[in-house]
Amino acid sequence: MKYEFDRISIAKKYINGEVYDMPPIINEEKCIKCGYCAAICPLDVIKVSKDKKIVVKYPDECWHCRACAIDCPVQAITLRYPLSHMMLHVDVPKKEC
Amino acid sequence: MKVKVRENIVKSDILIVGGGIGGLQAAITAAKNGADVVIAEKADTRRSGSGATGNDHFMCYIPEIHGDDYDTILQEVMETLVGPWQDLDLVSLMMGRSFEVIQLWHSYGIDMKPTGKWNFEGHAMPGRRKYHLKYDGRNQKPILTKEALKNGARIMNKTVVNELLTDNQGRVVGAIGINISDEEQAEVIIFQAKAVIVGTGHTVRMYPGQNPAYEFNTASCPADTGSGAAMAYRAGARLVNLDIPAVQAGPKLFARSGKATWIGVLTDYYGKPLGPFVDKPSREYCDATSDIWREVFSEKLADGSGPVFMNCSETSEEDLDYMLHDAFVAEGDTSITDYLEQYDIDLRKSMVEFASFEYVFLGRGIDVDIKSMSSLQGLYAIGNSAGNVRGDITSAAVFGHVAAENACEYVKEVAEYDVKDHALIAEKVALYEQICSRKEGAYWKEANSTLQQIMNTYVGMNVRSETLMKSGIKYLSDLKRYSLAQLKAETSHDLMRTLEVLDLIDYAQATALMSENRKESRGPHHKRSDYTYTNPLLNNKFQTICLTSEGPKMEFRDKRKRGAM
Repeated sequence: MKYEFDRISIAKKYINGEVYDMPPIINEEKCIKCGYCAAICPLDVIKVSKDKKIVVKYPDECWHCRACAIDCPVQAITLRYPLSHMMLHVDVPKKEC
Repeated sequence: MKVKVRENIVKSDILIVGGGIGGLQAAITAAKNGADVVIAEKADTRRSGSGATGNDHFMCYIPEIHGDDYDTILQEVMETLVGPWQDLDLVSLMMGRSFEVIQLWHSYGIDMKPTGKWNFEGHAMPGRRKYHLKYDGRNQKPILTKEALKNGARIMNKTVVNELLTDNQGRVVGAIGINISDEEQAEVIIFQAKAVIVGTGHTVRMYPGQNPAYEFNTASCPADTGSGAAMAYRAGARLVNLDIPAVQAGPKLFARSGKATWIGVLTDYYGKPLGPFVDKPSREYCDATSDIWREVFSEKLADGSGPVFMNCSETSEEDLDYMLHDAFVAEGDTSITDYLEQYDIDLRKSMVEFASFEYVFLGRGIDVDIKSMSSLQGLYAIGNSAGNVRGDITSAAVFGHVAAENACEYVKEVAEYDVKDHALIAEKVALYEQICSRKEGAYWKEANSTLQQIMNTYVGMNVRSETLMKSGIKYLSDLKRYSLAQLKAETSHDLMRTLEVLDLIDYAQATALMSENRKESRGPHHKRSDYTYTNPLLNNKFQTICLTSEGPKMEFRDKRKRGAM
């Protein structure tokens, strides 16, 4: 389905042979394809495709709750926090003596 | 995309819409009391809703700790973050039964006293009693799910409920839902139930978030789009307090965690503490400045004296370790710790900017009586779906419990109603088919972002007036018409999002009408340039809205006093 292809191309970008994923990132070598992450995601972001691939289909709807990362039985999931979520911080001012 | 209607009607004594904290508690209690219960949850009860991976505080009243000066206790409670927009009989009931529910949760396996005794931290002011119990909620959803199933409740996950069915004489008799587990097919499911308990959480995504380019960065579950209140409103139930929004706060662009249990001090750029409560980090109090001075962040950005920072540079090693690896985990904020590690941010050397976020509607929605029942017979509302009591996780759990008890009694007295040929079914199926079969059309995000723009400008956070709000009301009505005519969905997931936006527009219309009808300024979130005074005649009054045959009708009713505990 053309629509699915567009979604996946947003989710994964191939640059110089490296894969940059949108949150969450599923390590395909560790993944045992149990589908638990797809089942429990509160935002229905992860889907199991017809050919049984685990796809982060709606990456920009990820809430970053990390339920998928926490519940994955083989710890195959890490989260990438997009730049829209920068935690703004400055240096703590030096204390005067 | 195909729309199919499941032939078998799902029948139960009680249908629970929403499998969050409230819905699960309601299912446990109702099933235990012998009712046949079905939960319809659009994600999965094991991790859905604002309680997904934990929570940081369970507000409660424990007699041996808080004593028995109940009037003072209720007053102090309403001076914390939950605020005064509550009927006192409901607050009193909620606090009165909170300890009972805490003990139930502990018996289910949720650790309510991780330090070994009842421990109160945060959201507290020095010298005042503390009501926010610190507990370990990291697995509350799987544990509550297991308990519901154990007691015989049926759970239907990936099932969105979109419309309530009534007998057209003021009684709820069922609902229409959609199973979205197959991306290529929307399967409509008809529910028949003697009572319905709505626990769909609160309403977010109605105003632009911290970074409008990323809509789902919100301090509470972004899937909570006020659908329970919207469908109750369409069915003729009375809503309340939508004209009194709430504002959450937390790390400025990293909104998803809200305030959490940061053990530090809110300071200015030079490290000077801003609030009256703490000038050194305190695990006991955290910093409640923003609970009582909600505008601190926006004021200081506006006048240039900001930004405001959460300064943990003087937090002890032990407290920092506790905060990052224990407190944040218990309340579901592992993403904060993960982010800080990924970006190598040392809180001893860096202070994080905090800000207030967009308007949300926590505890604003369906108007309920002391039995948690709405103005529609057999329709109950709990947790953030109710509009006249707010207690975050406490109101969800306690009113889930209370509504279930009452619904069990209620269903014994009512007859079955056959929903098979209900007129609304054909109407809604036709709508779903239109949305799913359009060749050219608008993606749901177009409508959602435009809704946010309209609300932000015309029913906004800065200045309001009759001319602005009436213009906004007209624009919303146009948006609704355009959305119904143009929105399309190619997957069942997108159909869910499309229906969420339509619910949001209904909720927004009610909000705009009520806000325009409040002809005064009140509090920090409703400032009118055309009525700059606060009218004492509206003190202790709540505004309600109800759809009648002549259209929406608004009224101001008295705030209810407290009854017997």
